[in-house]
Amino acid sequence: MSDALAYLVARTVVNAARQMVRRLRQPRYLVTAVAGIGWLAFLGRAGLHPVHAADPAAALPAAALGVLVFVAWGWLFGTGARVLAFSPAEVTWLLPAPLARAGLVNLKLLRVQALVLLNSVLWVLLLPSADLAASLRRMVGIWCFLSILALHRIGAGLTRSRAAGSRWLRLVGAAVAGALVGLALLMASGMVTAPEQAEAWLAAPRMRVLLWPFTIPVRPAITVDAAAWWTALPPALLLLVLHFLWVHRAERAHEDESTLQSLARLDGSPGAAAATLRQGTAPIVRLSPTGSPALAIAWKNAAAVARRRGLAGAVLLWLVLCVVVELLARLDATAAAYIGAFAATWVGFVLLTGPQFIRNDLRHDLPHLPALRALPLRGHTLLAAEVASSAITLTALTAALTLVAYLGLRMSSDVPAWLRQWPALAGVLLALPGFSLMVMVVQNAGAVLFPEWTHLAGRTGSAAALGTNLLGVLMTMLGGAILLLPALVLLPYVPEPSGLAIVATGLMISIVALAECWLLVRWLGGRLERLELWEDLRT
Amino acid sequence: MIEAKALTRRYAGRVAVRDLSFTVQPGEIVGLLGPNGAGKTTTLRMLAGVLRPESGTARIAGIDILADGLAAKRRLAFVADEPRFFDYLTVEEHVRFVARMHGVRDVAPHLEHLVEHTTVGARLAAFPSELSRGMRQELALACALVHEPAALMLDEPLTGLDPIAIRRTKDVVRAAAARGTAILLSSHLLHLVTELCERIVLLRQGESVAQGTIADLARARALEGRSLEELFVSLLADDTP
Repeated sequence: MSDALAYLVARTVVNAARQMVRRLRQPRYLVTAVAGIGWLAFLGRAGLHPVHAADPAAALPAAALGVLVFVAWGWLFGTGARVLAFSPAEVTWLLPAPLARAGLVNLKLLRVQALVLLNSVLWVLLLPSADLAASLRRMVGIWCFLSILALHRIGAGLTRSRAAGSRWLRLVGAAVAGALVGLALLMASGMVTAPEQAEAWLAAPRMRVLLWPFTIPVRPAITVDAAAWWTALPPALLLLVLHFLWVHRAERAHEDESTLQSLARLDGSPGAAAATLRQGTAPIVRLSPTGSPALAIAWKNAAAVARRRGLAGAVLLWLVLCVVVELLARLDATAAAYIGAFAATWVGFVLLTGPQFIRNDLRHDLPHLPALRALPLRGHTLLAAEVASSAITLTALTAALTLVAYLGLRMSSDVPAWLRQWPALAGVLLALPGFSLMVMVVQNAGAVLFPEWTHLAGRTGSAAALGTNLLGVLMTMLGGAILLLPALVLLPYVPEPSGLAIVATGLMISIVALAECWLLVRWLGGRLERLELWEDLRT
Repeated sequence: MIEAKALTRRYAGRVAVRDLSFTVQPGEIVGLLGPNGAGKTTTLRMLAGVLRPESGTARIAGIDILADGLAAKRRLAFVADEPRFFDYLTVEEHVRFVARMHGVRDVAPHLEHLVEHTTVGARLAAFPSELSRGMRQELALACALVHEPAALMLDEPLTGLDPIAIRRTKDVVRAAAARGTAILLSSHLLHLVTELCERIVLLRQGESVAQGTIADLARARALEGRSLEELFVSLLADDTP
């Protein structure tokens, strides 16, 4: 990397740190930083008191299988090439400058490394080790592992982008994707028919041969024994170097496409979103020229989701999944139940973490707030429209998963009978809008009360960012717990859950949530009208 | 000198620039004009080495930018429409950073000039988010000129500026031309183009419609003494598809 780029990195780090320290003079940001540091300290303490660790040798095949799935995902759906797109400032100053392209790519990879290093430290804190030397070995191993995965993701993304413009590369890509899908189905069938023998299945000679390449990056990260670690490290480092060279080679071939993506981002033209949005598509619902202005805001936000690339494919995949699970449930109830339980777990996970990535609400519109405030809308109406958009998105996503869970579990004798009846499905589907609304109101309250919260949540690499994300999840959990209180109070009085009681409980959760959210949105709307956003973001 | 020879570029099959040729001599200021979407920015980006032309050549001070990109870029400067800055570099650090990229060892005179002749000079420790549009434009120009380029390309340098900032920008551009820099600028502000530019290159749908001095072009269309706006409309009205 050139002298100038080193200067850019050094000054950016120093100035960003100074800005962060200056921001901490405000109590609300100090709280988030303390939460982040407290969390790290907690993890550190947990790491100093080793608990029973899984046998690394036993964990290796499963970890390798995980790497295989990651790799397959990257080749099938990956978007790693976008990581190498240049920011508007980089396009303005670096592309016309006399700098070698390789140096620019290294600058982008350095940014990836910052994230990898942070994650390596966090994982070392999270996973117990016998002593300091073992911790250091583990950190190097995890760094190597995560670096390979990150580089592979980028390389696969670049190669996929290139394939999009070349007929024969598209054919090769389709063949590779088909082979990976076939392999995944083969694995899934083995796992489903004999889940209790998964360990033995993974350890079978054929599987060991198949998974061997995927064990190379994993070994240094999970090997405890020092001698074995020193043996495992060189092949992993060699793989890392090969990936580094591959990314550079792929980027060179992809240079023009990468530059175009960066320029589109700089121009703020419709092309800027070309990577994520389908172009030239009609909206799913046409906006009426008359009616509530708030509906227009919700319509705008809904269009942002409806026009995302891959949405049609995801809906199709979901429909196929529903049919497959339905058929599977008739053939093998236990196998279907596994898929159902997995989907049910995801419902909870998405409800908890979904608000962090579904952001088609005020958090997305925050930079346009001056324009939004010029609209003839009261603060609470604007906020309600914004929150409704992301709440509907979260509801749709969780409802889709809930249906898969229901189809998978309804034939299983291991599940209580009342949970397998349609009222359970209806009850959950009725409760989901209320719960989604509540968690989204909590997140948007953060955007109104802590504008920097939203700003920081999109960044990584600082304790304050970690703290804001952590507090976001905690507040989501807290909001959910408050919401569920009425239902929990009533639950003991329902000895044998009847169909009507379940449906009524679901409906009650949504009604209570709606009432609570309305009060909260009324109050937050007033704050929104008085929000001095830019002063806050400049500090 | 800036030389474009048969430059062509497409975006997803759509022609943005087709077979475009022109030159800008040292010390000359040439206006690149055309309606929105005519290919002005694409042309400037190809000449600045940001975008690769599909065919044709671009030379900066006699160096082919495709054959030896680094050498050509050492002799050029490009100020983009609404230049963006690094969030965490101050005004002074931006100047120092650009100077380093071009190997300029002595930055002090440039900083002194910035302090004495610009409003942004009073805000050397400020971050870009704290600057007005006029100040950002001043900073972009100061950074562009830090290595005394042989060729300067400016994309809409005067749009959105107040009269004082426009005056300063014009002075900077004229001073650079007086030092022998070949300057190519695109703008929709035709009266300012009239003041600054000796010649114009008029584009429509990526192709050159007319090239020459404003007086010659006006004479050819019997529009002597009329404004550039009338000439512009007249030239574009011909064979409008």
